[in-house]
Amino acid sequence: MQLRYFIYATCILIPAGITSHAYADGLSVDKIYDPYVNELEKELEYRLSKAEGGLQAPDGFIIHRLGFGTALNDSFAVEAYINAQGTDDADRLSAYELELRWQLTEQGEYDVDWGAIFEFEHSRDYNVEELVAKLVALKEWGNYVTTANASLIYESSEKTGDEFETALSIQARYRYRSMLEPAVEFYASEDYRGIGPVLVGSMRLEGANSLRWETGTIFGVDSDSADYTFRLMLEYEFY
Amino acid sequence: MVIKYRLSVLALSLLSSVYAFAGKPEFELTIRQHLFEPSIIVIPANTKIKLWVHNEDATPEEFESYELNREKVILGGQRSVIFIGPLPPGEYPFFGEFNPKSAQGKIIVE
Repeated sequence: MQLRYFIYATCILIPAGITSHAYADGLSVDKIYDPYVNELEKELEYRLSKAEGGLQAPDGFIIHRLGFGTALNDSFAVEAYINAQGTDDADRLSAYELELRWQLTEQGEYDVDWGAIFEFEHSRDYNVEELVAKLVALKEWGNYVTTANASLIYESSEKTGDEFETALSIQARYRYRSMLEPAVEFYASEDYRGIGPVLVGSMRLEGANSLRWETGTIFGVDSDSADYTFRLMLEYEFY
Repeated sequence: MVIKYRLSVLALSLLSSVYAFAGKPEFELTIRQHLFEPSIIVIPANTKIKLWVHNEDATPEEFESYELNREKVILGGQRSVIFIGPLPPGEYPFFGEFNPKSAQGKIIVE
């Protein structure tokens, strides 16, 4: 019960400070996580974010991520990524990320499903190290699903020093059919506010494997924000 | 006074636990020889239920249903709980992802 109070309080407090800071060295628009961990599941994941304009990408910015993850049990999963990022092209490895996902509540047990994510990123190009604690909340409304990720970020950089940042991302999705789920996503972080349409889907493959995909374009809502950010995710889940 | 307060809190906690327990009807589902038994479960409409799934096989099975929006792996010889609903009346199929041809069933909400 105390854990639930802590989670509720964190969920309220973190978004309260959202508008001040966020990812200074990357793009705010990325995957929005759900809180679930499926035992025995492994995944191979590719993500692409490409932005143009605003303070984040005046000359364009692109990030590729390739990750492999595995569930440790029915509550915890780990994933490791290698990243390539740059302005026009990203043809060399520039960073790596380690991620721990923790499913806090059983799906459907409470009104809101909860999870937490802890990430460590080391960027070789910018000599930046980043620690992220992310609270994940998901609420079902019949066929509508709302997912929120609230992040507290500690960034250590030779260029900008040490700083704390926050970010918030929210996805509202309609479960039309497994192959096609339309969604709207909103992102808020340092110098960035964006909203846009996203399509999500998955298909079952042979041998209990599946392919999940997400793609969309998020449009900045003010002059500081990137004009647009395209994102794509392909995730191959297997056992 | 402090003891009285603590006893009151304990009593309230117990009562709320009993209420929570009483508020969620429980159902049992067994996986045996890669089949769901029973294959049809009738549950009340607009009520959250607890579905206990006991996998008697030696191999794992995944309870999966897009209609119920649930996906849960149950290891061989293990028992696990899945919370379902509240749902409007209707039929909600589910299957075992590791043995989709044999392990099939549905939940009827009425």
